[in-house]
Amino acid sequence: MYSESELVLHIKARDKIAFDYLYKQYSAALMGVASRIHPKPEIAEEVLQESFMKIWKNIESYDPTKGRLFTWMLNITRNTAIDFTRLKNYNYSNHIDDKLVDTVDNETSSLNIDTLDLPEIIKNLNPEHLQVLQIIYFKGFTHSEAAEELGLPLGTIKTRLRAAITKLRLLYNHV
Amino acid sequence: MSSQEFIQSGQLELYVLGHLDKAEMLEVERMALQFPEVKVELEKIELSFEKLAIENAVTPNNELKNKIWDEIQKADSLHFTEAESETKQSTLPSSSIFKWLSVLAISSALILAYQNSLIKSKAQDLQKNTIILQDSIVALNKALTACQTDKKILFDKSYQIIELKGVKPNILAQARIYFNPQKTDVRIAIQDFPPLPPNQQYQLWALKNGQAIDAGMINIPGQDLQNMKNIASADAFAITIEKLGGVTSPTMSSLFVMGAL
Repeated sequence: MYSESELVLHIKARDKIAFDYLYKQYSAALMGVASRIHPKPEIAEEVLQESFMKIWKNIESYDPTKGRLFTWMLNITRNTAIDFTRLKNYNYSNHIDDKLVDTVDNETSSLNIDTLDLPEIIKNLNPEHLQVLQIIYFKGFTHSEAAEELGLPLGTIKTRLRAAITKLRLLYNHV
Repeated sequence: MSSQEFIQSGQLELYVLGHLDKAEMLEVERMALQFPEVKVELEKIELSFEKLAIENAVTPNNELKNKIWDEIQKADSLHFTEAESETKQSTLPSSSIFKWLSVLAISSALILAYQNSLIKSKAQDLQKNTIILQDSIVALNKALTACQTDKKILFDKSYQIIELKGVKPNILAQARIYFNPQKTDVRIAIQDFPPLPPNQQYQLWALKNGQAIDAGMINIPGQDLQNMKNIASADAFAITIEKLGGVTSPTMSSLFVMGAL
């Protein structure tokens, strides 16, 4: 069992043990993040691979005073997943007919507020708060994209996101 | 904006998600340094997102791990391959030259390997130093925040200043109390307090109508304004030398400094 700062040191030393540990400890959680944005396992795995490469390569730019290692890795994975979406939409819209673009769009960015498969605990949230958490945390929308998509003011998005997290913290006992 | 308003604004959640622009990020980082409660809040938000990710985990395909490790190694060794391909190009020379060359090659390789290990250990040292430096930056920032709080108190007109003078034979010792009866806040700065044996400590007292109220133990060295126990009103303050952890009523024979309002 490593502490986060020990793990960072080992990754910097390009140590295989560090990779084994990193993968064992975090691959499933990060795969979960990628899978929410790309439900197809083969694409989510590509995202995961790319994210691990970035984590490994850019470990020097991780600054422990600004947050936890996991938060940093999670944001890398989410951003990589979103980059993949853009890349995919770009490829499709350039090479494939409009019908297919629609299906791709529906698959990757639809606002399906279906709570199927979501972690059990978040079903306790108020539906309006859950919707904002889902679109931002799970689908990777920025808060301004979320505001536009849901037709809500930015302030409301921020308030609802905070309310969702506050409730989650209560459920997780991180108060 | 107060730290509570800042916490309530929802900005911290967006910071953890990486959704803020540079200026907004700096603002969050500044607030986190200035207000410990903001820092604590950030950590709790991070832990909740982390927990959520763990609950939402999906185990990837078994073969993926080796595939990623192979790719990582390929990427890591990219800058070595050029050097390797150059050595492979050499053709076989006549036997004696070949022997010399192989001796040369082996010794160069050994020297290179040695240098490589030196560089590697230097790199590791540097990484350790970076972490130590980062820790000291955090410590300095904490000290700076403490200084800023102290400065606010020094210039705050609602604080009364009470000079405590050394009682013979401790004439060099000085203490200055910053006392705000409305906030019941008591801070102390001390100078030239000799160190005490480990089983003794300086204890501050607020004196009111002949009664002595315990105002807390003083830590040495105390360069900062030390925050003492809350006191609503006092006629005078005094410090005595007491046993470690303090006593309930002062030992007047060990009175050290004293000053009246």
